[in-house]
Amino acid sequence: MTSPVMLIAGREFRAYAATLSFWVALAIGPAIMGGALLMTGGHSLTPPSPPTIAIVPAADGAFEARFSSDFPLSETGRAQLLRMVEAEGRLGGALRSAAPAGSERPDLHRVSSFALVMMLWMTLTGSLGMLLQAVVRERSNRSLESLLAAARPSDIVMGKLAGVGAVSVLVVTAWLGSSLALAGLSPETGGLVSSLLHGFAEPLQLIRAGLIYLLAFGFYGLVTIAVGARARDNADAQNLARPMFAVLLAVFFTVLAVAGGAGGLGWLAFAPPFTPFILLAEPQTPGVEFMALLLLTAATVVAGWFAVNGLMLDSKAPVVEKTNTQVTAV
Amino acid sequence: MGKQASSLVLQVEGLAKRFAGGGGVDNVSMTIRGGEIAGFIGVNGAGKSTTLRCILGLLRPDAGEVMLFGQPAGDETRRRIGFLPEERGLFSKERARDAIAFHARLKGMTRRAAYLAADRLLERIGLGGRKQARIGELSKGNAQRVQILCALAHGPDLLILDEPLSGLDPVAQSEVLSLFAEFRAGGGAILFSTHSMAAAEALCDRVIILGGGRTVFEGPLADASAETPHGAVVVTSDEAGLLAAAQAVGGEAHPMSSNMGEASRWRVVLPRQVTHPALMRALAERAVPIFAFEPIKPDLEAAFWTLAAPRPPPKAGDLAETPRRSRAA
Repeated sequence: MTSPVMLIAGREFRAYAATLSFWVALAIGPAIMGGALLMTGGHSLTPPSPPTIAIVPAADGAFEARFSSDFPLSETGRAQLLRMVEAEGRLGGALRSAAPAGSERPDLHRVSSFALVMMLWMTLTGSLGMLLQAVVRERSNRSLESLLAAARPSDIVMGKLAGVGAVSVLVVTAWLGSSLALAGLSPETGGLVSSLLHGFAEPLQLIRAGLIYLLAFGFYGLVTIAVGARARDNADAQNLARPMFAVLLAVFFTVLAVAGGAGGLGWLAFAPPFTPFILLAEPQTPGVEFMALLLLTAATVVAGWFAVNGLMLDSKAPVVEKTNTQVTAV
Repeated sequence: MGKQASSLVLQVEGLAKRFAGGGGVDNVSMTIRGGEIAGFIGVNGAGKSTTLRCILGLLRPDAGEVMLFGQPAGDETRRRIGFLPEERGLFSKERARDAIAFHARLKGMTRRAAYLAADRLLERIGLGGRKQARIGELSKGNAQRVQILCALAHGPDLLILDEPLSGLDPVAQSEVLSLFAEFRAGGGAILFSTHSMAAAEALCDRVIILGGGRTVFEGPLADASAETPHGAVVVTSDEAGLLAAAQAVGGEAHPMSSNMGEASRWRVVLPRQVTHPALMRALAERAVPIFAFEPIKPDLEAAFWTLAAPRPPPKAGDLAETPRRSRAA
């Protein structure tokens, strides 16, 4: 016997994933990414310049070695190389590695993070639309009563969340998986898109992003169900969901500001609607991240309570149809 | 789970549920046994849907008790109920057999058993060739039949049906009625709400009539018909003349509908000793124009008008009022 949660989740998943249009839409994103990679030099449309090392005199009489950002050695390797050059004694002075030359790496890192956050933000927004539909569809045609007569409200909420969540995870996996694959196929210096892909296509970073995405989907998903459960029809649901989507828009601009180097926004990690995206755009200290995620979890539990109670019919009188056979008072 | 005819399937006592915005029920009671088909009748807003939702656990009652199969209603006992809501709604993209199997599995059937039941039921109602059709591809009547099968597939002991025949053509109605008869013959009980007196008379052993949020009658169909008053339904454009004529013969006239053009429909209740011709004479003496004159027949519809016509809101002391139960109830 399958649990009601799994049954409802499977039904929701099939409702979206069992269509050709879904798979076409799923393939479009990675295809565009691959196309952009090719167009901006993913496979050396412009041959990459070779890595360089420049040794320049420093003010104190010593020498500084400046490595190009794509120099193919780790910090340890670079230090070893410098020791070898210094040991030759031809420079006539001490040789040290210069501080990272400018802001090239940090900027690229910011932009990469922003690209990753936006990818997840777009997927989340689209998934919430699907989830809203999944709730309103049954609320508006009152077939929710059939479900409620057979399953607990919490089963229905979890089933819908898991079903649409699985669709959402599939989309995220397609995006992130293709990013990893494309990053593996292209040289790091192959162009802007290639550099961006290499910037965030690190497996550990992607796993972290995936986990944070799940938390974000849990929170926003339950808020969406709570909203949808109170709507009478589609138009009503759209209106009720407007504030939530406005918050998501605020999140977008906040992340944009963080990517642009704006400081002083780290505190927003403690505001649950912002938490996942701030943590992705600008990683915080482990203590801060732990506290922020704890708050997000608490907010998710509250949203879940509203979602489950919203599905119950307690506060609503049944709709009475007016017909022309209505009895007139005697 | 064996079905036992005559065993107590559903017992509702003193059910009350009020909503903040008004409406609800105050004192609903009913009893249904295995192998019985009970019609649940009341005007719009009488509280039928509220009562059904309380039985199904979709609403928490303010007062009263719902017993299913001799136990307080709970998740386990409610698994033995099949429910057809008034508003039909299935995934339009879902296949007919998937929809039926889904509902059966929600009620605890295994996947294999659920699909076997779905196929058998679809064959039974002549939709075997369309079991792979999506709901959206079926006609409205067929989609509705599929929804009825969703309620039946897990082999419930009690079927609760909200307007099960609405939207079905006579052929489909006949098929569905025979399905219900088959279900009853197997010991299952059916509680169905309806506005159609003809459907209730065709299908029911017993009726429960709801008026003003309370049970006003519960008993065999024949006993309900016995509540029919003596009188006539008169359509006239002269309200004052009709009221005067009714008063002259010792009767009472009640409007049955708002004016339709010039004329309106009235129900004139007469003392047993006053004949219909006597009423006609009284009307003729006052030159009351009569568009139609029809003696009240002793049927469920007439009983319904007597028992379930809207009443003023109940006073606090009325809550304990006992419904009229027939001797055989």
